[in-house]
Amino acid sequence: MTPDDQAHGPIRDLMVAVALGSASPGEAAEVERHLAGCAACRAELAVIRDSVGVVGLAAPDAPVPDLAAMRARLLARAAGQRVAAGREPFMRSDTPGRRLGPVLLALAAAAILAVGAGFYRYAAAGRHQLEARLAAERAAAAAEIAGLRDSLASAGAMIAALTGPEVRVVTLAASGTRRPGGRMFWDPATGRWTLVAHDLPALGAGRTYQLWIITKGGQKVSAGTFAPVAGRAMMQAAYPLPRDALGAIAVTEEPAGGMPQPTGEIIISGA
Amino acid sequence: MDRSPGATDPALLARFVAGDERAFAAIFDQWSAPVYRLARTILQDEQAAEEVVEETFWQAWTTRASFDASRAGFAAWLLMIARSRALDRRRAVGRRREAGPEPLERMAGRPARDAAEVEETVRLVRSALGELPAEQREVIELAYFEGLSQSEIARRTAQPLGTVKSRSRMAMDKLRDRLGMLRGET
Repeated sequence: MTPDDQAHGPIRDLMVAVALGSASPGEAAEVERHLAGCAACRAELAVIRDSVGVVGLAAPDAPVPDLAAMRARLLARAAGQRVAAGREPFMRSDTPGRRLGPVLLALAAAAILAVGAGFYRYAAAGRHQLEARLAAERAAAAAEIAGLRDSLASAGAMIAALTGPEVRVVTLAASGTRRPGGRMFWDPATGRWTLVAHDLPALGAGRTYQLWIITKGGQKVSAGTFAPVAGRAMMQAAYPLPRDALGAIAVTEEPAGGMPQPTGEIIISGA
Repeated sequence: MDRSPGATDPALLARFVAGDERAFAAIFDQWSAPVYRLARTILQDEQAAEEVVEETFWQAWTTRASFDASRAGFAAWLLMIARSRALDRRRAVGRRREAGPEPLERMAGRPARDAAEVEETVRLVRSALGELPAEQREVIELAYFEGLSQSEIARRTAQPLGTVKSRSRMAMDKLRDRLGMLRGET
């Protein structure tokens, strides 16, 4: 469906420039005017856009760096945006995290109200004094907003670590009738591990809990030590592991500082 | 039928446009390597190229509703976002390379992980561009990778503007036919 060159040739000469964004405003306007009444040239421009657009695929080869961290950041931003927009809950309703986004937004609103009240109080003061205080308030508000933004970003990163498209969940339980349990959220794409545990027995002096990632080959990798608060604990670790290489997850009780290999009792485990 | 070369699965694309984060992840996996190579070619700077990749995918995600398959295929849409951001950045830092892009002959195949189909399209587009006469390919490369207007290309190559325009059009006709074949057209 190539338009007749006699009637459309001059416009077609400009289309490549339009498709590449290098046409002058006058040329672009000329093409736009023609396209408004010419379906054939509109279709032609779409084909040219396709053909021009993919020229970028011919870029010379180059080693591509590991973009996993970038991927995780983008997904975290997307998840954060979704939560901030209140489009849908990001966790099941039985989890306390559901209200995190609205809470942060409420904090932001409270901060703005507080700053507003501050402004009102200083309205009767002298102009210079008022300006100085306004500047200070503005700086404080900016710092507070930056802090809230950081909190929101970190909440977004946490949400992504728990809800990423490839996250696997391993349930950890104690043997016998003991109560402790937990869940491990593992994102093989980013190598991030997030353990959430509950009902852990209090530790004695000089003792710690230690998390182990056990590969299918039987290798036991320490993912760090932690202590519970009121029986609850959450910890994160980074360890790249192929998707099919996980054997089991276990938490043992060890001497403070942790051990190179597990020596103590397994408190909870799962596979 | 998606008429774009290197078409991303239409169902995946529909989920992406609808805001499905898994589709976003899948599209990143498919396209991040070619987008990086494009940004690196324009910027000649690995760190800046990585930043452009991130900006490109975030822009694609936040403006996904504006993607119009009747105006351009997904690959062209995404790559033009990357090209535009990379050229903007290049102009902003005022860097001008004396040499053009690396010769295409120096390219060696290095398939991106989990993106074999995209890499096949990369091979075909490179082949289509490689078949152009050198003077036609130069016009397209200067316009695409360096963002030069036809007048600027005329000055750079010391050719009359009319010659640049006719080379550009002949090159585009050949690319169109060749990539049309890739699209399954006859």
